This record gives sequence, C-alpha cells and structure tokens, in this order.
Amino acid sequence: MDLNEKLGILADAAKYDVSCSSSGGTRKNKNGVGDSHACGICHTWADDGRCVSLLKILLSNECIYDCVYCINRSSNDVPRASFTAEEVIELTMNFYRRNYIEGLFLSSAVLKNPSHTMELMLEIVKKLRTQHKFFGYIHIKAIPGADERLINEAGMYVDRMSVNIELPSDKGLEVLAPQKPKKALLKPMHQISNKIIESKENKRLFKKSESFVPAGQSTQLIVGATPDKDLSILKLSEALYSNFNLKRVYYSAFVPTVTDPRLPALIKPPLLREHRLYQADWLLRFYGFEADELLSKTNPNFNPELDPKADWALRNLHLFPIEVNSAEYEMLLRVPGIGVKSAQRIIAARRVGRLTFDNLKRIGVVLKRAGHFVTCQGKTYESYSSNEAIVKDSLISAKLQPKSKKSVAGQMSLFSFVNDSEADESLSEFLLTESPSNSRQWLSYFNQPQDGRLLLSDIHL
Amino acid sequence: MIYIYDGTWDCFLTAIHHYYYDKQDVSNIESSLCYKPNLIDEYRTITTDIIKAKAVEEAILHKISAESLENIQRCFFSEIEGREIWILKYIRMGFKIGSRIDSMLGDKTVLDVLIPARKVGLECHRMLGLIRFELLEGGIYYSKIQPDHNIISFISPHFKNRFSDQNWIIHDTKRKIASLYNTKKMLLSYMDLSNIPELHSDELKFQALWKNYYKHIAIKNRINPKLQKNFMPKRYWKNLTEKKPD
Repeated sequence: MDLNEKLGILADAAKYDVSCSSSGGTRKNKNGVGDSHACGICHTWADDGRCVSLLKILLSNECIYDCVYCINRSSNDVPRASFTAEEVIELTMNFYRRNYIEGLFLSSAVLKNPSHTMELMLEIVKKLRTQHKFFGYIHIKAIPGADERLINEAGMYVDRMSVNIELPSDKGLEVLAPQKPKKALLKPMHQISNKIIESKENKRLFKKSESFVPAGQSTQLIVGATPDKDLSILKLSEALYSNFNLKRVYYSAFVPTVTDPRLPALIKPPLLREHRLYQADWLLRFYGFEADELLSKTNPNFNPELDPKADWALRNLHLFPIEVNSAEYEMLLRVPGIGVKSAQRIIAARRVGRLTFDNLKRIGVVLKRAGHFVTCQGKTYESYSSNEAIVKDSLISAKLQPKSKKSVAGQMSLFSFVNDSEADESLSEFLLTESPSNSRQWLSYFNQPQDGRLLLSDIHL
Repeated sequence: MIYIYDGTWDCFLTAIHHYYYDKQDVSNIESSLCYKPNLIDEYRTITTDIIKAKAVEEAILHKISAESLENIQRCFFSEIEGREIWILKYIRMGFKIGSRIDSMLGDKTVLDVLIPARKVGLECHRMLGLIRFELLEGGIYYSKIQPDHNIISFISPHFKNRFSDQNWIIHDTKRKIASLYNTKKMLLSYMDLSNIPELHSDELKFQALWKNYYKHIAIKNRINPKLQKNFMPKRYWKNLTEKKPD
C-alpha cells in the first residue's frame, strides 16, 4: 500500500476526534526546526469548517477493541492500515517545513495491546524531538491500560496528552464500550494530572528541569450516542476541570458511522446541541458560571432557541439592568452581548471617563442584546424593556433566525423542514425518539434516571 | 497646506516632525503614491530624514507608550486610505494626554487608529497559518502572498524563529516586497524577484499528500462552506496548496 492511500485511511480514521488545537504551551526552537506559541495557530479550514492545525492521524486503525460507536471497531468492515515510524516522521517534517501544519496529533487504535501501542507512539515522538530536532507542537493520546512508565516518558516529549472518555456516563461505557473499563480511562488522566503538578513544582525549585505535558491535558465527550442529558455532560466537564485541571474538554456530535441496535438512529449529527455545550463550556471556563446555574434537574437540556448565557439572563431578569460604569467585571461578563474582550475594554475605558451607549457600541458591545440588561449613567437603551416576553423575542431575533426559510404556512411538511433547516436541529432529535425499531431497544438500556450515575463519583479519586 | 511624503514609514514620520516644527497650517499628509496634484491645493514634498524620523518615534515611545507606537505602526501599514490624517490626530491627542490614550477604547479618534491596527493584527495572525512554502531546486522554501495589508515586516520574524535552519523567501507579489532568509541573516526589501528556480523533484509528491489529507479530514455529514469561508476568506485561497486544482 502506498503512502498516499495509507494517509487517506488513517486520516479518515482520526477525523472524528475533534481536538486539533495547538495552544496552551510555548516551546522554543533550540537549533532545530519549529516552535509553538501559547495562542496556537490554525493553518487551514476543512470543508466542514473545522480548523486544521495539526496533522491528525492514527498510527494504526487495526483495533482489538469493539466499541460500538467507533468507526475503527474491530467488527467494522473498513480498510485497515498502519504507518511505520519513519512514515509518520517524514510526513510531519515535510508538512511542517512547508507551513501546512503546526505539529502532530498522533493517536492510535489499540494494536495488539495498550503497552505495545504506547511504545510505538513513544518511539515516534522521541525520534522527532531528539534525532530530527523538531520543536513544533505534539499532541498524543495516552492509551488507557498502557504501562505507567511509558506514559510518563512520553509526557516528557510532548506538549499535550489526552485520554478520551467519549461516553459521558458509566452506563454508556458499559453498553457501548464493554472492553474499556472506566477505571482504566480515569487512571491515566489522574496520573497525567499528578505528573503535571509535580513537574510544575520541580520547575519552581530547579529552573532547568524538563516540563511534563506543558500544554496540559484534554479529553473528548461524544454527544448524542447515549441518552445522557446536557446537565450530566456539563457536570462531568465541570468536575474534570476542577479535579484533573484539564485544559479543554471537547464535545463531538455523534456521527453515525456504523449501525448497531445499541446506537440511536440519528438523521444527522446533533450539531446545535454540540454548539450549545461549547458555549456553556466557555461560560464555565472564562465567565465564572457554574453548571448548576445554567441547567437544573427540572431543566436538564439547553434551550435550542437561546444560547445558555441569554437563557440564564432571561431566567434572572431581576438582577438587571446593571450600570455599566460601576458594575463589577464578573457581572459585566454575565450580560448577553458582552464578551470577555468587551468586558475588559469597558473596565479599561471607564477608568478614563464615563461611558455612553455610543462608546459601548464602538467598544464592540452588541447593543441589540446587551441593551436589555445595562444602563449607561442611569439611562436605558432605546429598545430597553423589562418584559420577559419582549426581551426573549428580541434576543431570538438578534440571532439564530433561520435566514432563508422559503415556506408557505400550512404547506410545510415535516421532512422538507428537516432537510433544509439548520436552526431546527432539535427537531431531528425529536424524530429520533419517535423513529421506529431501534430507538426503543436503545433506550431500554438506560432505564434509570440520568443524573447521579456518572463518572463523577470516580473523579474524586 | 498638504504634505506629500514618499509612502514609507520613515518619510511619514519626517512629515510629522515638520508638522510640529515648521508651524505651517497643515490640513493633510498624503502619500505621493496616491496623491494627484491639483491647482487649488498648496503642497510641499517632504524628503526622508532618518534623524527626524527617529526623534518622532522616540517621542511617541516616551511621551505616549510602546503600545501606541505599535498601534500607529500597524495602522500605517494597513495602507487603508485616510490613515495619515487619523494617525496625525491620534498623535496630537496622545502628546496631550499621554498613555491614558491606550485606555480610551470608546473614543473616535483612538478607534480610527485602533480599528485598522486590529485588522492588521488579525491578518498577521491569519497569515502565520495560511502561508504555504514550496521547496525549490537548491533547497529554498518559497512562498507567494498577496495580503490585504502590508504585513510582511510583521510576520517575517516569526518564520525566522520557526524555520531557522532552512532557506526561505516570502514574496509579496502585490507590493513587490520580499523577505529572504539564509539560515543566518534576514533581509527585507523592495524587490521584484524574477527567475525563480524550478520546483524540487519531491515537491509535487508532498503537495499531493497534503491535498489528499485535506480532502479526507473533512467530515462529510458536517459540510459547512459558510463557516469555512468565515475563517478562511476566499481571496486567500489562490495561494493555498490544498485549494489548488489537481
């Protein structure tokens, strides 16, 4: 098999892993080639609109496991291939020198056994760093179940390491990934997190000591392959951030690549739901929100019409309006239409003068949204209203209004609607529970309430 | 009175120096590259004086701030029409109020400079990723760009650090400027490169591999050309290896 063909197979096998960022760490070029910056650099955008920053490939897709949701499951009929170490290195170096990529993201199916796979991956990153003097970004997967020493050694060469949890609940793992014990997933995450803390401590004591996984660790959760609610997923992310110091949790809308009675019959991947989770994730990391503020047991899923922040603000209208010239930074961040950048600019700008709505507009605040929640020197914005229904309407029309819905009332069939509308992702989820045969079978695996029985209990190791 | 300068940064700063010391009633500063003389305007042509230019640079740095100097530079190299008068107004304000100007993010005079500066910053960051090198005979990595703004001087140092062990050329064919690096020194100058060597014999193989990878990495169920073009406007595609037809 020639290299081109292999590359196609192993890129196909890797593309459902969403992470492709090259951010979080800085590495200097020490008489070789390459460096990396904390902000990361995207090099291109694929036809699905996702950024390509790293050469994201599997070392091999010949897997011994048979996880139901995975395209590389052993019982799936797909072409199989494995790279040699030299091939991976040749591709990485040549792509990097032409500025196609920011580095390498190497993952692998489990070949023979976890330790054997980890050893092959370690060999590649070690050679890249030492023989080829490559200082670009490297992200590798830690293979759950691999020898601890191998993971520790690999961590000394790479920038980021990740273990994918994939399924956000115990039950999900049990049903869909029977060969992957969840303890084996959490163990390496715990180990990596401890090593990172230890290496930071060492760095403080001895300036010269090498850093372990300087850009931190990340993980991925698949959304929509199990009936887990948004609340469960978000609570899990929150626990991962606070207990394992994760840099990122990625969410991947489930794309049905294989059919199985244990999988839901999705018409299309739940992209809107994935989008909402990312929005909420940002609110957890940069806006000081907690999962429980955004969702609750009585309201466990995101509103398809409104983003989580607007939804929160609407439920808490009694806290608004706030005065832009005196409100705390934390409160400014909670205003729909004000992001981290504009909140920081407001803080800086009001030190040298009082702000008006005109100033806010120039700063970059979206007044169409923020106008309902702030006052400037005691004055309200022209479109201000404290009526919940009016605010809701204007928040919805300021965003997410399907742009080209050319339909005549009464003539809209359910299916034409599903086909052309992006805004109504929720509808395809609705169809899912109504769809015949396998959804009932699928749901029967999950007869218990979806709140407590998460991986959460195990994270507090 | 209109001051005419030759389009370069140093000459522009010289004009600013004259503005402050000659005490003439100046209504605008314009580049000779776009200014069309007419009978009504009174104008004066400024010639570059490095000492005067450096003095203005120092004054901005010390009387306003390093951040302001950077913003002014970026705004200047945005090549957006009207930038000279915006910068002049900004500098006048800066000399009055000092570094407080960096916080006045809702002020029109400040934003006239800041917004072009941000545009340049955005394009610089984009370009760090979107530049594509081709390996030529003789071991030179060559890249052709046509950016909206004149950003070559801002982005070249990045590649000097990153590809410090390879020979490379970044060639802005729109402005006929190139930066050249020979693993020791970097040179940036106006030049129209001709006689570019042939592609290296391995080059097409790696281009094909990259195109193949690019094609495979997209998830078919999620095709989203609008999102793609948002991040990567179509005008940049002509220099992207992965977007070139086979």
